[in-house]
Amino acid sequence: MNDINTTYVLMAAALMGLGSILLRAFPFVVLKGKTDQPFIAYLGKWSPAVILSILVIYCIKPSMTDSQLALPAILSSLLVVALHHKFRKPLLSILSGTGVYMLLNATSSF
Amino acid sequence: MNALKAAAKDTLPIGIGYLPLSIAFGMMLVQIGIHWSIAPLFSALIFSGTLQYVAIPMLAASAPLVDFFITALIVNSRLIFYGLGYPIHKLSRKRTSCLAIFTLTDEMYSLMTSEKAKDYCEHKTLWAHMISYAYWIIGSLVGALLATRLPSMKGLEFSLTALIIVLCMEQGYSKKRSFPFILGVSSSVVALTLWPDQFLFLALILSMAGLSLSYWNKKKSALEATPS
Repeated sequence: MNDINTTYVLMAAALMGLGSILLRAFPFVVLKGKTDQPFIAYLGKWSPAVILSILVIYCIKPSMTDSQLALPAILSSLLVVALHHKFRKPLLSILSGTGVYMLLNATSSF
Repeated sequence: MNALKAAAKDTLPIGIGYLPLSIAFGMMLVQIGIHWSIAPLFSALIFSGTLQYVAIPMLAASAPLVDFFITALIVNSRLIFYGLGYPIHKLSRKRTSCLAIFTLTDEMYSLMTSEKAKDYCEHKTLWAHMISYAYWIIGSLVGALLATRLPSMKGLEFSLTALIIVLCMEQGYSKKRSFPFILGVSSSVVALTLWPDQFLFLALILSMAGLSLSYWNKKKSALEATPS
């Protein structure tokens, strides 16, 4: 096993951490005391739904460009939607969807 | 104690989403020749799945240190939008709000803006953050320790996609309006067409612009409706 210098790895992690902290803190510094303004309140009310629908596409996108993964990803996502709509039990929806995805993946690779 | 229990229950789906990805991260880190003890530290310092996966080929190629900082700013640029809607007012103490901001991820943002979190107190909010953070760190440690002994986990990463789908549907049930979802999907389609490499950030900018427009429209029509 080749060795990557530990100090280098920790410095890299610290720098990535620093970049992420700056981004995480930025909106809270900018919006400090302004969250009750009607415009900011309006954005705050609706942006979670907007952002989550974008994140869903962001999560599914890598599988869509892979011919082996596209169909399992679509079918499993539909299963998650159907199960969650019917039962509204997050664990059930997530575990079943992931299980079926793994199964479909295993069978399609033969 | 009750706050801890309740937070543990609500963050269980996040744990199910985080564990496979953090375990896989720990395995990969060890596989490129990094000591197992670094994995949990790495996860504790960054706490961002996508970014940590991007770091692996960079570390293997001994990329210049400044590149790690720049990559973090690019890959995680979406985090600047998470101040919108996050209930920071629940965290009255500076220390707790700093901890929550430091551990803010896609999933924590989604949980804390959900219907479920409406009645969260300061303690419960903080516990939810710390438990999810712990899942991520412990997963990395487990993955790094078992790197050579674990069977392939191909497909397990879908748990995070399933979690995001579930959280998105929960937003739908609580908001009961379709326009934010239509806005999100159409912004994504436009962004995917225009600039697929930076689709996420572009889609977020477009959708926030759309949301601002809808606000001014609403305000304008409200003004027109009132007789002067």
